[in-house]
Amino acid sequence: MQYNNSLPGVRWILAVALLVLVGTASSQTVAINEFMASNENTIADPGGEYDDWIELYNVTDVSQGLSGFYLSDDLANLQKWALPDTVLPPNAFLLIWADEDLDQQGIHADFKLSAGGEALVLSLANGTIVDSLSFGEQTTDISRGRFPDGLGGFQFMLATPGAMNTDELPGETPMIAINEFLASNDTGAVDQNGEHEDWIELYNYGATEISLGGLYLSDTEADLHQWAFPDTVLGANEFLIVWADDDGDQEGLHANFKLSASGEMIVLSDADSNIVDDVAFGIQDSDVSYGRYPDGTGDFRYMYTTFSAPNVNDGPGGEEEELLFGDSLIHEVNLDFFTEAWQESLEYNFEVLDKQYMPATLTFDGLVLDSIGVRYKGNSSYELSGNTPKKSLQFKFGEYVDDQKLYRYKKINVHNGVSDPSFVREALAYKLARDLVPAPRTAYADVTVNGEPLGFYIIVEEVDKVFLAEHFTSNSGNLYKAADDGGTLEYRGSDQANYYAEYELKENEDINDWTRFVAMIDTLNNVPADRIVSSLSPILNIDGCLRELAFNMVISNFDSYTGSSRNFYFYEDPASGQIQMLPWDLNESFGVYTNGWNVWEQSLTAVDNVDHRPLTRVLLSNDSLRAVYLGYVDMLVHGAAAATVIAQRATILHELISDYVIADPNKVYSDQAFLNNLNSDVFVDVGRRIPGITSFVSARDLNIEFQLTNDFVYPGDTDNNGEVNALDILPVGVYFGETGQARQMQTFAWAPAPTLLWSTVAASYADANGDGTVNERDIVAIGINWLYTHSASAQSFEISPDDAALFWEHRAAFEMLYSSVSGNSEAAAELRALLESVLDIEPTIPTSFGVSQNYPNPFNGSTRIAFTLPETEAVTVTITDILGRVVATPFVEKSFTAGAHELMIGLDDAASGVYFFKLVAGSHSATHKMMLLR
Amino acid sequence: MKQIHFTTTLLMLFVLGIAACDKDDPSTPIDMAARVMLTPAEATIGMSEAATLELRAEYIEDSVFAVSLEVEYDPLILRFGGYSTTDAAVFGSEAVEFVHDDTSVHIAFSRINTEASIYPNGLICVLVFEPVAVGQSVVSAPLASAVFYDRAGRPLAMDGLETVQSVVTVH
Repeated sequence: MQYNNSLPGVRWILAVALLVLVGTASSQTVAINEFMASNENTIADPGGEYDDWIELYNVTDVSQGLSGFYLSDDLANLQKWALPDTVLPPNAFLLIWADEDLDQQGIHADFKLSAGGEALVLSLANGTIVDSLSFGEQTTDISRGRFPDGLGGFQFMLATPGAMNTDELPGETPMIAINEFLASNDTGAVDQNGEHEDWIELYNYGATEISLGGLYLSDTEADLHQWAFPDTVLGANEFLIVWADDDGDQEGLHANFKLSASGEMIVLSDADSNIVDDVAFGIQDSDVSYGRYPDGTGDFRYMYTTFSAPNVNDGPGGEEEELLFGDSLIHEVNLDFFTEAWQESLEYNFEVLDKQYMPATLTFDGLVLDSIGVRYKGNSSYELSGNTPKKSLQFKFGEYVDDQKLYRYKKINVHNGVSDPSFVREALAYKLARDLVPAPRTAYADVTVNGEPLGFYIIVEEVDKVFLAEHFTSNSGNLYKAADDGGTLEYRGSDQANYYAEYELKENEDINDWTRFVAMIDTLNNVPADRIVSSLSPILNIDGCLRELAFNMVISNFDSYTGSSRNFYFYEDPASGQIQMLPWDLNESFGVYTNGWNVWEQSLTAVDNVDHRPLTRVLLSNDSLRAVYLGYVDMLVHGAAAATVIAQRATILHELISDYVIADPNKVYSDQAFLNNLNSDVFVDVGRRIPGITSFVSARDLNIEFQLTNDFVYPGDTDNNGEVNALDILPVGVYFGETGQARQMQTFAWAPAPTLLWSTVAASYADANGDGTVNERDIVAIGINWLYTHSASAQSFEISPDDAALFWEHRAAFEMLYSSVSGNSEAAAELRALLESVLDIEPTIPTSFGVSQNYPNPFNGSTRIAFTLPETEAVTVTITDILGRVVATPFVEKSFTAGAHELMIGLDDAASGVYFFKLVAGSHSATHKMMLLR
Repeated sequence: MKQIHFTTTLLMLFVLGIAACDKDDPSTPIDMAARVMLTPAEATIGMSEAATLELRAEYIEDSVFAVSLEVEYDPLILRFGGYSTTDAAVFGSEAVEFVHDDTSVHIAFSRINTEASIYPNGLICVLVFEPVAVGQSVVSAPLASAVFYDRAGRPLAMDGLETVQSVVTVH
């Protein structure tokens, strides 16, 4: 075995300090510290082969016995490979080759790593997960490891197998940014031909010039090298415009793609496909650019265009927004209450006085506002917070002083992150949502009360008239919010009062006219499918709903309409006439709130609550709308929600807030939980698992990729050719009895269900009801869905009725089907006719001797044997028991002609058990084992 | 005397009436649990005869489009001899039927989607069992195997579903 024990004095202090921080809150002793899933030149194993490797690290200062530890890359089999019975000294490393070369010198696991991405789990015999991670695409000879060792988050790094990790990467990332772009240019700058085209502005924010040769621009992650920069140089602090107009013949720089004003992405990458910079964006307004402020490193915001010039912190939203909201902004906030018993007062006001405010003086980054209203807020978050004073808050600036605002804002929400050990979920989720639909912005706040530290919070923008004015032409429309117990959008009748329990009117309460909202619900529930789109489009922003449903599904934000039916707004936009769906309360995104589902593997389209989610049901059952929805899912997982993108954003935020979270005197989770939850699952309470941000996104993206690329099963269309007909009996026959992974929802409902991992992909389609077995129940689907059609998939598994060899191979199964399927229906007649045709097809005279496994097996009484003879032979069949004793000789020297034959053999008087039949034909013989079960 | 005789007669009739009512006491609840049953509950056959059992459903309140279940029997006593349906069978003529016997009888009936759903209360099919040896065999449909499906192909939750077995004696 190989391990290194290398900790000079300074690092001992660091290790001890980390352990002190960890204290008793951490139970992790050994960590997955580094791995390489694509090793071509880095390090060779004892056999001289450049194989995948995994490095473990003992994070403690005591030796750790590794007996009882297991490593696996299979979440369904955590005990795939047992670590050897050895001891890992304190702060030592252990190198394990993931190469299945178990006979080689050294320690070799019996699985390999996938360079395309997968999971790694270190666990104990009792199933306890010690450490785990999921990872995406890996680069050859670049490892991925924790920095600092054992406790830090995972990042790409120079490989240090068996040694301390470094946070260095080979080569430096050039300091060039996608600085601004305009995706809808009506009246702005013109190109060399005088055309108003889309453009992208690059900016060198470094101190030295950058060679652009070897850099690429793209608007799709599927082809990062879509357009290559010419071999030119961009000077320090200089701007460069690339026209995104696909006019490559023009002078100047013209990329071979255009930008979509509906939203997409821009990626700047290098020759090795490393992403230098990227931005995913949502809806773009005409002549309003999206750019960074400050140049080069700031967050993106809508702004007045500054073509090839420094960006301005001004746009349609005004300047002040950047003073309050910004993902990386941390505000100093102090509340001065008139009483020391402020916690008791806030609790009393919330619980007894129906969420009444109490006055406080606010100091916000030095700005003082007298007598603002403060109250606790929240539903489940309030309950989860227990007795802590650090509950979520709402500030209402004009509660006691008319028209008082903080900048332009009347209210802000100040959330305590009670459900999120990582403290980055809301910031990440809202940022992602803003790329798709109008959604709140966030910032962070370090809050004190009466001068004493209260804790670290995240500020979330309130959805009110100020918000609506930012995102819509008019903010005078009705705004509805789902009630605490949720709103399903099911039809409750024409009386608006029937909806008061599920929705709250937040604007225009005095008018209280719900007509249009009720009409939308009525249409959604009661208009036939063939007219639903045309009927719904005038009154519902369907595209926005599809985006939100895709968003909910990709990041498993299930405390939403998709799952719990909670946490959303609907806004009746007077200008468009459409009702817009808006997201809310994303603190339990990224898999925290499960809704009873598997947050890593939830089907994109087969959702088991659709009977009570008409929006989901109606939109996803429409082929065209479902395609749009899946397109948004695809866009997300390859763009703004890609594992690498989320990991990068999350890591930056996590590092930004780390000191504040650790210093929080009322933090809910341990420092170790905060540190770990960026990349790893954290287990809180009994049986409650909070997925790690990056590990969750990696796994979820992988699963979604699989769902997107492996198509869907329409129950009954077993050959996936787009129609349920008699030919669909053929895969049932070929794969009869095969087993595989069962689907979450086992139903014949005519809706696409995701295929799962089977050893034979085609067999998963034959499993029509998704129960994990191809059997007679799957024939039910052919009847129920007879002649139903769907958009044909690119991947079909059609079996030709002329495939004689295949039917011969599965003759027993087809004969069983033929003898079992009947009925007077057209479908039954067609099935029987096809089976007759299949069974009548005789193969040509076999050229070789062959004996098939008996069928059925196990059997009770009698069973069939099929065999082939290349020439006439005398055949003897002998049956022996497990001790070799002859128990029957049903055929002795019986003559059979060349061809295919079947025999029936029986063991009427034998006891249950294992037997062998031996068939001898001339110089040929074959023996098979069979099982008699009484 | 006539009056006494008349009164006595009335009393006797009254008593008889009371006695008769006791036999059909309306206070005795009727068992209405949904069930899948094999009838008759008992059948006795000789070695040269076959037992004909009806697979029936009763008191099912859900509309159904398909059913899948198994029928178990003792292969030392009986062998499966086939099945049949009649015009009165609840799944009707527009159905795909699958009946296969290996270690038990696997049954899956599905109506075609152009047809309406049914309330499957009545005869599903007739099962024939032939004698193998003298003895007694329970013929039953295990509850765990019985799944009814609605028109959309979704399994129906049938709380309280019971199965009723038949006992076939071969003499």
